[in-house]
Amino acid sequence: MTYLRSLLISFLIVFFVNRISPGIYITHYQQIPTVMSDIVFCSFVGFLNASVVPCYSILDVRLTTIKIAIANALISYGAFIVIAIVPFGVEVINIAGILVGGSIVWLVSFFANYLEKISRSFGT
Amino acid sequence: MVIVNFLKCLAYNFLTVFFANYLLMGIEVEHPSKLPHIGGDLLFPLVLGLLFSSIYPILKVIDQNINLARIGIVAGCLSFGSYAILKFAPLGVEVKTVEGYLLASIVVALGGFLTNFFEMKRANKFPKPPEMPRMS
Repeated sequence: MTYLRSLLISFLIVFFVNRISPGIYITHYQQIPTVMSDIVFCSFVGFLNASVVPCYSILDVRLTTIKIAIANALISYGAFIVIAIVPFGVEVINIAGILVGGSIVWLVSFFANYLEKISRSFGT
Repeated sequence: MVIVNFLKCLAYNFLTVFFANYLLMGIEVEHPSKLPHIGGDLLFPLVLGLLFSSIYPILKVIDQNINLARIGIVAGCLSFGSYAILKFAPLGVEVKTVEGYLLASIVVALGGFLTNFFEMKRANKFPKPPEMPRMS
């Protein structure tokens, strides 16, 4: 359940950032029921960010705050750098898009993973 | 920890309302925000998110016996009420159709209900220790 909550917030924050961050534009804006590639992008990045703590646990790596922060930073900034090179429903047109978008996604996903780490250490 | 939980609740509710406004059919955002410009499409989810995050703490202050039905009723009233207000007074977000009104209200009410339900579950799991009687 903690993982699902982490996945949900990681997905929603990417969705939010794609719409409000300067330098980021949705190329094919469509409403449900036509789900377009920006939703696929949000789901993919959200899934990767939410999987940091479970992956560390599966790999038997000792969980530390720094390790979580580094993995989340790599995924968040990396995803926006990739779509700056290859637009995929979402387009990054300047460096502000990568910096602002990546930072917001990084902070929120780190916060979600940190809470998951705490809940795991309490065994809930 | 109380503040962290409140912020977590606020983030979930804010993002759920934002998601519903942008993605669901029948709801239209008039002037989408792009930072540093902040429009009604950010303020409306923020206000609604604050209200939803306050359901459990306020109910707890009013009455100690909180059940799921009470949380559900308050979340439903808030959600349907706020989208009804939007129908008549668009605050940066406009309700175009009845389907949009119903769909958005249900999604937002569900999000608000779930966050408060988890908050209640967490509070029941870790109840406050009883206060020690003061030595006179």
